[in-house]
Amino acid sequence: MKRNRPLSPHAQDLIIQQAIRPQEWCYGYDLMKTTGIKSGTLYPILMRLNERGLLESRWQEAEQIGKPPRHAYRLTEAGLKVAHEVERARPATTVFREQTA
Amino acid sequence: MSRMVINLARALLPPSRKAWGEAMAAEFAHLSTGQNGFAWGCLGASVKENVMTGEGLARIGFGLVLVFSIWLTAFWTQSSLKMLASAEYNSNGKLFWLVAIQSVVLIPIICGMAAFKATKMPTNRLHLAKIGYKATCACLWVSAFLQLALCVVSVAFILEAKAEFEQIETSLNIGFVTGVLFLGVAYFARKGPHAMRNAAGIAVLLSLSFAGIVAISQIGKSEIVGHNLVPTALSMAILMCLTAFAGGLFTWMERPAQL
Repeated sequence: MKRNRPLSPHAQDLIIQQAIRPQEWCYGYDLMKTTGIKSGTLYPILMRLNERGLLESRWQEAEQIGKPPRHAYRLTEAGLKVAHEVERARPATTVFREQTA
Repeated sequence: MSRMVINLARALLPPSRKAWGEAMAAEFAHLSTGQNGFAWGCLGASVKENVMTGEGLARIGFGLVLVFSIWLTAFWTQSSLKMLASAEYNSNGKLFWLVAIQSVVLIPIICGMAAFKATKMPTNRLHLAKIGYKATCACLWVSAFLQLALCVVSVAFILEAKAEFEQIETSLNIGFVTGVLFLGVAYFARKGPHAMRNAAGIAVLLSLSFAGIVAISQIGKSEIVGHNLVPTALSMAILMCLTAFAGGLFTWMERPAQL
């Protein structure tokens, strides 16, 4: 049986951020900028979320000519549901900290 | 430099994560700033995937088997060739030792090739069972034919009367007994891991019975004439026990997971 561990704080940040614009496909670099998560942490999180069916990915043609296609990410229905649950369950102190930051 | 790092990160990722390696490299190609930090971060993620996941740990294990196999093959070949060059053997004597060397060298080569194959593909138990089963079968066939070849060369060596019978009798006996036993198990193991398990199990019983009969026949004798077959038969029983265990393991691995 597969274990579903609780999401790490970084993973929680990521899915909450993604849930703001649920229909939009985002690239890895965009996610790094919006969440402040470094690439070494971001990609393992994306892999796990994708494995758990919370995140979908697809290759998109590059806007710039001569550049390779980019991998884009979006929350699935299940991912959106989890994002809302996480947002509700987050302690008020965390929200306060984020607001003041 | 950062391009090299991102390529290394992509290469190190386990096979099931290859698409993520491509995603990292593609994203890297689109960056105008911070490429260095991005690449090193990806390398860290890649290493973490190898150390923290079951698939990664399995790959490390296979990699160690591969390195050990290469070392053992190189070490054994080099030391044996040195020994062959220094010793004064006739052509049959050299052939005998060459076959004897090959019988030892080929096993790590087969294990190394199986480990290399395993590191290149996504790790799942069905896939690993197939690789393990094929490698074990190859080891059985190679051992059987080389032991029989050793036996034939020993006879030629004796007939040429360049060596004392006692000097070569051990390899003649061992060659014949192990050759026939390995050949029998390899033949029946063709049908699948369960057949390998059953055939090796029967071989264990045969080896132990043989050792028992020889041991009983030696009771009361003050001196054993010729090669003592009891340790040989017991060694065979141990090897066949390992083969039966491997067959059982692969049978279990090929069975679909029960809900």
